[in-house]
Formats: sequence, C-alpha cells, structure tokens
Amino acid sequence: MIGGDARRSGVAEALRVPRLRRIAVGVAAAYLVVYLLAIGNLVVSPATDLARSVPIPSARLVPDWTSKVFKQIAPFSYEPVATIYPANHVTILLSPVNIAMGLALGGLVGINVALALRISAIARACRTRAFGGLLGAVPGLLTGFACCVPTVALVLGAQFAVALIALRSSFFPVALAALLGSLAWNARRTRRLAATA
Amino acid sequence: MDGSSDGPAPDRPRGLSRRGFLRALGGAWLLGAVALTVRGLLFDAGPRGSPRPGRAAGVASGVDERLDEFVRNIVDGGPPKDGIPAIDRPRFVPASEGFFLDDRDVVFGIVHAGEARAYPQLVLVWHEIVNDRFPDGPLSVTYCPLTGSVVGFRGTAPDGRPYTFGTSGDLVNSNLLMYDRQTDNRWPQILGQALLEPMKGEALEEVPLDWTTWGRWRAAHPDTVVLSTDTGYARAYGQDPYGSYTPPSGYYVSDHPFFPVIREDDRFPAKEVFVGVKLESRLGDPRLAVRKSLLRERGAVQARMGEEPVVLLHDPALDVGRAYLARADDRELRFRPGDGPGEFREARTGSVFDALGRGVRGPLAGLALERLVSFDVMWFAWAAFYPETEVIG
Repeated sequence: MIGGDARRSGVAEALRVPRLRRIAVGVAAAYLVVYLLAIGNLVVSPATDLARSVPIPSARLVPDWTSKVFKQIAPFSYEPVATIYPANHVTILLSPVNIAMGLALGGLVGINVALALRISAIARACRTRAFGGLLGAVPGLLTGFACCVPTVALVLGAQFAVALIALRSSFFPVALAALLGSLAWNARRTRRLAATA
Repeated sequence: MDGSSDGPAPDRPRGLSRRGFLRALGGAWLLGAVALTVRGLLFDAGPRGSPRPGRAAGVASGVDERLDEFVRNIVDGGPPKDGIPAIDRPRFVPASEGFFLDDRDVVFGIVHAGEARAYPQLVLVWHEIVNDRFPDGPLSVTYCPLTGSVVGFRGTAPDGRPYTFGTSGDLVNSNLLMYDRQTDNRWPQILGQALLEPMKGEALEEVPLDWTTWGRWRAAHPDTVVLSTDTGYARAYGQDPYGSYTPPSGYYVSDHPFFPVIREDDRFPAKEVFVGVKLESRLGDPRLAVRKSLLRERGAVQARMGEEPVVLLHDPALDVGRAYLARADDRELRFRPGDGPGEFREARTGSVFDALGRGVRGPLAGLALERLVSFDVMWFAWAAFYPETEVIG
C-alpha cells in the first residue's frame, strides 16, 4: 500500500512550485474544456447562426431545473439545466454535475502532470513512466453522449459503436481509477526521488 | 539529476507495480472492448443475400412468433429510459417567429383537426417524441433519427386514459422503442404494435405526417405554427449528433445501420429513402415500399396491396408521397400525372385530382380518396420489420 502521508506530501511538494501549480491549473482547465466538448456540453458550430434566434450573449434556465439537475441522461452524464450563449456559434449546456465530474478528472490530470514534471526534473529516465499514467484521462472523454450513436462511433464504425455503448458505463470509473492510481504512484515516487536526490 | 543507470536506485513498490496495475486495468478494459467487438463481428458476419436473417436464429413466421422475435432482439441504444426526454408541454410559435429555422431545414408537417403544425427535425432529433394535443385529443408525434421515420400515434390504454409515450433507450431493428406511460408496454415505432402482454399485438392508430422542409411547408401553410425550441430542456438545437440533412452527411448517408437488425436486405442502399405503406396497422397485413426518388420521378405509382388497388401521389409542393386507396364505388381508379404540377388525371373518367387525393374537376370532382398510413423510412429498417413487403424501386 502507498501511504497517505507520502501521497499527500508528494502532491503538496509538487504544487508548492508556482510554475507546476500554474501548469496543473491550466491542464485541469484545458481538460475540462475538452471533456465538455466530448460529452456535447460545449458546442462550437460555425455553421449555426445563433444570433438569428437568441440574443448574444444570453442565458436560459430550464423550468423546473431542480428536479432535472441530478437526472442521468447517459451513464455518468447528467441533464443540463441551463443554456448559455456566450458568443455566436458557441453554446454551453450547463450541467453542474457534469462540470464537477470534468473538474474532478481535470484536477487529477493537472496534478498528475505537475507530479510527472517534478519527477522528470529529478530523474529524466523516469519521464516516460511518469507521463504514462495520463493515458487514464482518455476513457473519461468517452463517458457521456446523449444520443444513440456517439460522434466518435460515426468515425470508427458500427462494431466499435456497439462495444462503446456496452462499455460506456465503465469509462468514468476507469478514468478515475487510472488517474488516482497514477497519482498515488507518482506522488510516492516524487517523495522517494526527492529523498535520494 | 540524470536518470542514467548510476542514478537513484529504482524504487520497487511492494505488491502490484504501477505498470502492472495500469496494464491490468487497461487490459481488462480492452479485453471487454475486443470481446464485444468480435461478438458484433461474428453476429454480422456471413454472406450477404436478399433478404437474409440477421442476428436472430431462424425467421419467425406467425405474428406472435414475430412479436417475440422483436422482443428477443431488443438492444441497448445507449441512453437510459427517458434519457432522451420526450416533450410533454410543447410550445408553438407562429411561422413568422420561426427564426431558428432555415428554409432548407427538415420539418415534419401535419394538418390535423383544422390546425397546421410543423415539428422541426432539429428539435425532434434531441427528443424523438412530442406528446402533443390537438382539438380532437392527444396525438404523439414520434421521430426516429436512426431509421429516418416519423409517425403520429394515438390510442387508449385499458383504463381509458390516452396513451402518452417516452423513450425506452432501447432499439429494435435500430428503430426507436417507445414505452407508454400508462402500462409500460413496449412499442417499436415502425411497427406501432405492443410487444408485451397483456396488450401484445395491440395496434395504435397511426397518423401520417409530411417529411418536408420549412420553406416548402411555410409556403403551403402560411398559417402554420411551429414547435419552439423552448422545450423545457437545454439542448444544442441546430447541432445534429448523427449528421446532417442539409446537405446529407454522417449517419444519414453512411452505408450501414449502427445497430443489429433481424434481417438484412441489400437490394437497395441501407439508407435509401422509401415511402412505406400500410393497408392495416397489424403485422401480417400487406406492406408496400416505393422508392421515393422513383415516385418523385413518376409523379404517381399504382400498386396493389393484397386485393386492394392503391396509388401513391407525389406532392411536388412539399416533395412528399402519400398513399391512397385507388377505388370509388368498388371500381378501381388509375392515375397518371396531369397537366399541371401536383395534378393527376384518372384514366377512366378523365377526372382531375390534386396531390391530396381530392377530385377537383370532372365526374369525380368532390370525391376524396381514402388515405392510407404511409411514411418515409430508410430501406434497411422497413425491410427488417417487413421482409414480406412488396417493393417498387
């Protein structure tokens, strides 16, 4: 088992470095954006002239939103309760639960990146392994699609679509577990490397 | 510090190594993906014929057996029950306020109980069902993006309440499997019949809609109202997750359906649009499919369903095909395109009919042909539900 103290101190040590902290926050934000794009909660559509039908910028809260906010519309994907039009051609479907989940994964990716950078600064040979755990972020991007056929399946074909749908409920837990595992490992390694450096 | 061999001694965690952990995790996940993919490949493997059985073992022949076969071939479409939410309180706006629509956008139009309404495809693609109400009662408008079919339904539950519907999240032959909120039975949209006891085989009343474009519909029905995007849900209306109809792309023109079908028939491209016609709603009654491009080209297509003469008339104003019983006073009527657009001449009497099947000039002026249930549908889906269908293509 990896000790909780070692994990905490490894993470804290990495995040005490201002540059790594900024990188962690930036990566988390970037992941959140990609996550929201992947699950269709952030839509950029150059072909759709939103200004024709809605004021830009504007926002619309759905009626009875409190009863919808925790309603699942796909495994690990929840009902958006507001539509935000920040600019023409851009729509944000606001689901607090989806954002929290994206932030959780994004935060883990960000901290993993900070730790990996810390490790590679101490021991360059460990760089590949340190960054390898970030692959765990990928399944999270396949988590939510609110229709029968995810866009990625349109590209990859029918057989992949069936498999994807069968496995979709595992994407978020797999991503979470992989990122947590990677975090624990890298935190422990950071501490050990720092101790022997 | 350099990470060469003389660097710090590699740390070796006790128990499962990090690499081992990630390998195990990824391996298990990939194994599942591969197993399911191979399973799918095996199911769909085999020679292509016309028609041929798909996943199901054997081809059921009796009505009951076929209904059971549909049940056995229900597949998970992805979203959970009601994950694709039906619209239960539809709001309509006048045509003059349909700013969110382009003239080329697909709408499903209906004139019913004296009211013209349009349901934009860009709204229904996110909801699939609108539990609407007309002056003469409830009418549920249903749209399945995966089979390109739109059908209106009405019916009464055993307790006397009118049916309203939701999405089950499942599919049969890639087609929307609805559930009714009164009894929780299952109804494939193209079939329009209950799959489960105690109402197994019960057929809903089907009401045809016109698959057309907003510009055409608005021109033909200036007094129309149109379903608003104020649906009670937050969706990216205008973004179609499956592709596009303007111009056609993505799933709507790809070679194959995504989900397994019971029978495949490769006489035509899977997504070719046909006008499917039902003489009666129940399974086992005659079915007819006419390729829409052929109907558009010929204007009128004469056919026979069982003993009944039928005619499909193409309405050029809306680019829709509608089916009618082609008889009056027990005499068969035969039609060919008339002199003007949207006009049809009856061969025996010389009477002129419009595209709505109404006699407008000649001895049969005032006669209204009986309309049959018909709707646009992708070929693969119609053939999967009705392999016995007559085909004109």
